Amino acid sequence: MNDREEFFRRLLTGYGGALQRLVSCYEADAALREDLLQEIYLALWQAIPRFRGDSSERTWLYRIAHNTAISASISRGRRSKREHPIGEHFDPPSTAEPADRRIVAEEERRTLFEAIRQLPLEDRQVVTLHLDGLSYAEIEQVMDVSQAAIATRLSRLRRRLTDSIGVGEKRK
Amino acid sequence: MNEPRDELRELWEGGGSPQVDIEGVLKTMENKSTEFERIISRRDLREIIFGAAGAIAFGYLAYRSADLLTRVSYAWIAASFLWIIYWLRRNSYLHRSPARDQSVGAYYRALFDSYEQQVWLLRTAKLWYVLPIWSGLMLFAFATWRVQHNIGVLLTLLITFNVTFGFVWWLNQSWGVRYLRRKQEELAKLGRAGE
Repeated sequence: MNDREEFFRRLLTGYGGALQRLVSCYEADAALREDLLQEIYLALWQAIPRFRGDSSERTWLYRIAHNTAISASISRGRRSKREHPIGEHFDPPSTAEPADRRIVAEEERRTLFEAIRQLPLEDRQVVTLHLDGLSYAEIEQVMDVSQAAIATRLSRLRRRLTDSIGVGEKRK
Repeated sequence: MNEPRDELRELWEGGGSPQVDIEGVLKTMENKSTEFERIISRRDLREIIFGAAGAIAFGYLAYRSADLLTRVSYAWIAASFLWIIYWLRRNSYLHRSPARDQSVGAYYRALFDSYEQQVWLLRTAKLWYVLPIWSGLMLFAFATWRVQHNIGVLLTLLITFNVTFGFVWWLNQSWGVRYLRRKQEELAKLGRAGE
């Protein structure tokens, strides 16, 4: 196995879930999500030989993923932007969770992704990076936006998302 | 600096990390990557073959031609084909997509600029593409009229060449530029989506 293949395997193992969540924030339709995921994999595969370690592996991966998503959105003419989320699919949650809570959580999750898809591009990117656990410094490296701007934006976005999905309220 | 683990994030990660068929993806990537490189090299090759074929054909006609003005017109057209290939190769970087490993902000700006550069390439096509070949063909039409003294042939040639090159000019100036401007607008709208 060569270095490129080894590196690619590590990326898929470490960030497979994050990439699936990322494409869900760009495309509502399952087939378009799969297409976008394939495009991101290809972009990563092609970019590996140029990776020099100037930035962290994580910020490098998110840069490529979001840039590919922007490019794909333009190529597709944004036709999927406000489509009904037919085929929206999430992996089955843990069966340890009671069925009714599972249904509520799944519904909330669906609403969260839909709410994120409605955000302007930059807000969408900031919020997904934040939810994936990137620090402000890392988000700055991915986005080229100052940490102060990220903090302000995130506080507004978190409020907006919490309001739109009513996190917590349904569970009370 | 980051907020502690919260409900929003728990919801976000709630689906867990799905299994990725790594072997399947690897196989697809190797195939797709080869296919992609093949498409690019085929496109480059097509440009060179098209230009070289034009230059050789008109060069041969110039060599065989008895009339001096006709010979000059053929030689002019042959040289135009070589010039177009040179120009396309020299500006081929304008067709390349911006590198995707730069920051999102830089990529967004680079994408916007690349549309602008392609618009420039289309707008200047009248100078580097249409004008050289068109002027050679006008010279050829005049040379033909000088040899044959047939006004009908002259008019047919003039109409054919002008309509054809007028259409090429329109394709670049109007349709091509409009298409790119629409893409640029979509990119700008994407940034404002949801506002």
